[in-house]
Amino acid sequence: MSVLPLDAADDVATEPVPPAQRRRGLPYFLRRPGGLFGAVWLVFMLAASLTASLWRPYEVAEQDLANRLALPSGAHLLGTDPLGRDLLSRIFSAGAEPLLAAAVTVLVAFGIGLPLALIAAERGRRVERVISRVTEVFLALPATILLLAVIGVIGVRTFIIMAILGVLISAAVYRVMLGVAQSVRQRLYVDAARVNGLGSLRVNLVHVLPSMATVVAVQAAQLYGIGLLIVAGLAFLGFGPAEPAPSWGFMIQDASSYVFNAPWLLVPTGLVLALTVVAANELADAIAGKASIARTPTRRKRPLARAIAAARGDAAPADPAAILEVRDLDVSVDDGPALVTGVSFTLRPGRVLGLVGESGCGKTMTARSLMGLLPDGVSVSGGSILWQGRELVALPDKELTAIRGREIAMISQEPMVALDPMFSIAYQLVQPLRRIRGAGKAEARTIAAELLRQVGIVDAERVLKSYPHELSGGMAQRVAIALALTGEPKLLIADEPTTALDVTVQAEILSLLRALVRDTGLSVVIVSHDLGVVADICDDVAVMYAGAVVEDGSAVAVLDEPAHPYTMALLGANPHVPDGEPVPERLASIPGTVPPPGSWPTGCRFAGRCQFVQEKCTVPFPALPAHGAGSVLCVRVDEIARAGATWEADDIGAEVAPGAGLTAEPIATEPAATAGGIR
Amino acid sequence: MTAPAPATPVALGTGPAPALEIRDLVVRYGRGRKARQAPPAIDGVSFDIMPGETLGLVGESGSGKSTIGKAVLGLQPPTAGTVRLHGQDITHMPLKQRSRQVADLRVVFQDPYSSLNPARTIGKTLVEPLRLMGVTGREALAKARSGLESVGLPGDAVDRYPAQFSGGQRQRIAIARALVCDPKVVVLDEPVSALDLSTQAQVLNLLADLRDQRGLAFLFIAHDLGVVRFLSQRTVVLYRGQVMETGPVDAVALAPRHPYTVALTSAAPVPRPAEQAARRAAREALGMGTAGTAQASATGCPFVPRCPLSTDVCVEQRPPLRRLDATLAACHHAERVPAR
Repeated sequence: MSVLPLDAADDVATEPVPPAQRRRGLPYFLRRPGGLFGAVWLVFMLAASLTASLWRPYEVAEQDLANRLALPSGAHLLGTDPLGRDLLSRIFSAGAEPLLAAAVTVLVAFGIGLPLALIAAERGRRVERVISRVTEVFLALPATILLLAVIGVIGVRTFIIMAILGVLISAAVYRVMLGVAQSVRQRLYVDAARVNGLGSLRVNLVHVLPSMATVVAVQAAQLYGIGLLIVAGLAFLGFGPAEPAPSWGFMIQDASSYVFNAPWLLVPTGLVLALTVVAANELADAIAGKASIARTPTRRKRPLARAIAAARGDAAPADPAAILEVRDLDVSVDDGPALVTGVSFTLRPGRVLGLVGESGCGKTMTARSLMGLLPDGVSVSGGSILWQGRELVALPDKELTAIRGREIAMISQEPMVALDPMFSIAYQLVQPLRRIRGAGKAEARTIAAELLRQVGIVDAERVLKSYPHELSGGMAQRVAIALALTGEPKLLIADEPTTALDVTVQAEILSLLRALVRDTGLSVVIVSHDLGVVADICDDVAVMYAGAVVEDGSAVAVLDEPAHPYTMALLGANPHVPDGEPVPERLASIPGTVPPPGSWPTGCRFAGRCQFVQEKCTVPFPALPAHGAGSVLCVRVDEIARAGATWEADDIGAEVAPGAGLTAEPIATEPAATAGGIR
Repeated sequence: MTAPAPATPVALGTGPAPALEIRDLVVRYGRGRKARQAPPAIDGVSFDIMPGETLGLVGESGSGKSTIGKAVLGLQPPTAGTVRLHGQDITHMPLKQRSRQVADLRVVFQDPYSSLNPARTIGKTLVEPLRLMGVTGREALAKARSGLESVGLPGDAVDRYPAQFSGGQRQRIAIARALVCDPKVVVLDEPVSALDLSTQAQVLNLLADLRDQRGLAFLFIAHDLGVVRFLSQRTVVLYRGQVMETGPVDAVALAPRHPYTVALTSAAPVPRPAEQAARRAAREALGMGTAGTAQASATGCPFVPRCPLSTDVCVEQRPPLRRLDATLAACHHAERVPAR
């Protein structure tokens, strides 16, 4: 049994980059110039400083009094200081202390803060509160004064001082890490591991910590940079190694007093310190930048199709009663694969059209193209959208904006997206009413209350005063519909309007949409994956598969007498049966997954998963008329209908055969052995 | 070990000992006075699941169905009540102890994307629970491979990462992880609601096959009565943490006696336009109240604000579960519920 590469079956909608494509070799952050510089510089500094006593050309206290305050020369590569001491030797001999002491701060801060955060995230609110209160005390302590006091007591012992600083900073580290740990712990795989009985330590080490690694690395690198500056700062104030032992801070302080007569003196030490701090920050940026590597969005250019359509201009619709006519619509990624091809449909006033299919079949792209609201980098690449005789594909953005919200409105799956959490419902309804309808303030508020009543909200006045978060999901969707109605649109595009709602609420929203269509003559294009929703509200339906309409016609005809195998399969997979019928022993299923854009087969795109596939399915063929004014895109439709074949559910046990879950079997050159019904 | 007499006679099965027994479960979230005054998330729920049986736990968002799953698994400690697995009280048993003593209880979560650790190979994820049970490395890997094959995936998937699989395939992997230890009871928390229709059908068929082959008992949590009807023998309908109706799944779906169950069954659309139009008309004739408008009284039936049949007694007294025809329903006016 041959098996497609798993990557090919990947769900493109949710998983943009399968890690199989990750290059092996260098870690990702070293592939960015900043990250590479940061890592190389830090390693170089550390190595050079720790080995300075082996290679330095002069001893740190060795004076060359003939060459005081010298510029760089062959004898002194970086010049000399006021006492004629070699700067190169002194800078690198001084480097080990700040580089290591800053690391001590980082280690202590994370050594305390990270375990505390993990414990607090795991043990729940009571433990978290105790730890958080204690860390707040730490955060309130004046760190500088405390450090100076410590120096007063124990003297200048840099490593101990920096360790104490680490203890103080651990409180800040804890705060950041707690948030991250809590969000990681909410992931279900942590729960799954706990149900499996994994101990607390191993849950943290195996499942929680790795997911926090990026944040830890970023924070640590940044803290390291801060630590370096603090060590240098202390030395600058005189709390560093005593002369003649060199230190970056004291060397800078020394140089600052010669800044007018020997400005060069400041350059080497200052540059090394600055570069080291920058290196730590660059490394942090590179580690954090994993997500931002994504390609920069290209400016939306005026696509070729628009130019073509503009030249063609407005045309009379083929169906004079149509309010919307879509012909041969293509939508593609700019310089990439097509997402939707050759979609055509017609919508009359007061009718409801359903676009139905599985995820990744192009329903949403089709619906969004009607409003010119495609995502960046995706555009209409062919065909026409005639809206009341106007060609929308050719329309400049400015004119499209005038149509959006006024003539064509949209509601989405997540009503909260349409509502701004910062403003009251009244404000959000009144603004567009004043802008679009030119109503006065008081008048707009009256209309807003009327709109809310129209969408079935009884206590409109109370809802007007409330904010989005105070509404339930069903109520929010009603408000979103009211918002869509502010411009008195003739067409409403509803993208999965009930998918996020409970079934009883879904039924209410569908009743509301039906009442609006009946009372106001609104036309609706509804995108749904649920054939029950389509049966409930749609007059016409277009079934989409892999970017193309495979069957369309009246909802009654398509759902009661499906002609295309894909429609049959979808109906067979639906567990909701009418009351009189028994629940099937097994549901019909479709092997494999929808092929992603760019890897559609020539010929029938469903061929790889179809029970009725034959060799002739692999060559392109035109759609055939069906269901009266509708069509069906299947070359074997007549044979299937003659034989009265239906999509057969698999036999019991077929699902557990290896490969059953993931194969989209290569198209058979002979009739598939398992085809149900006909040969 | 004998169970104390249940306060509500939910157990319809008699004969062999139940695989999972829930008695008078109460779960409250939070601490303090405010939390005590709020109605509990789960309020006195009892049910049994027999070996090899699937019980569908159905309800809308906020009904507490997932909370019951968490309480059974030990992820959310119950405030009161008991959970028994094969007669053994596991209500307050720590998770670590559970895995050693009762490897019999496993889980499949709803979201196939966050339920697998993206940083670990499928093999590591599957081997983990086996190693904890003391299985040697090589043997565990062999079991992981055969576990993957038993859910219809190739054994060499052990070397791949979750991101290389589609949603349906990941859910198969999550099922394989649950079954690799050979459990007797599996909690399925909305295992198909994140999947497309055709993939959902594949996974439902797979679950039915595995149950029949291995005699598994499922606690099947779902919001969709159609899906529950396909997989379950019995069902419990929850509303605001309380059992509204329970019984054989076909009886509950076709001849519901609780007004909420009537609302739930009539709202689920069927993909036949004529049939759906009739259902819609019937539903609109019920006069069911809009969801989420008013708060129910603490002492009475939680469904009062939406119920077309409610009277004073419903506000004052919480109705007990009582036997009606084929099901048990918690309604004072069940006799007045129109037959469908």
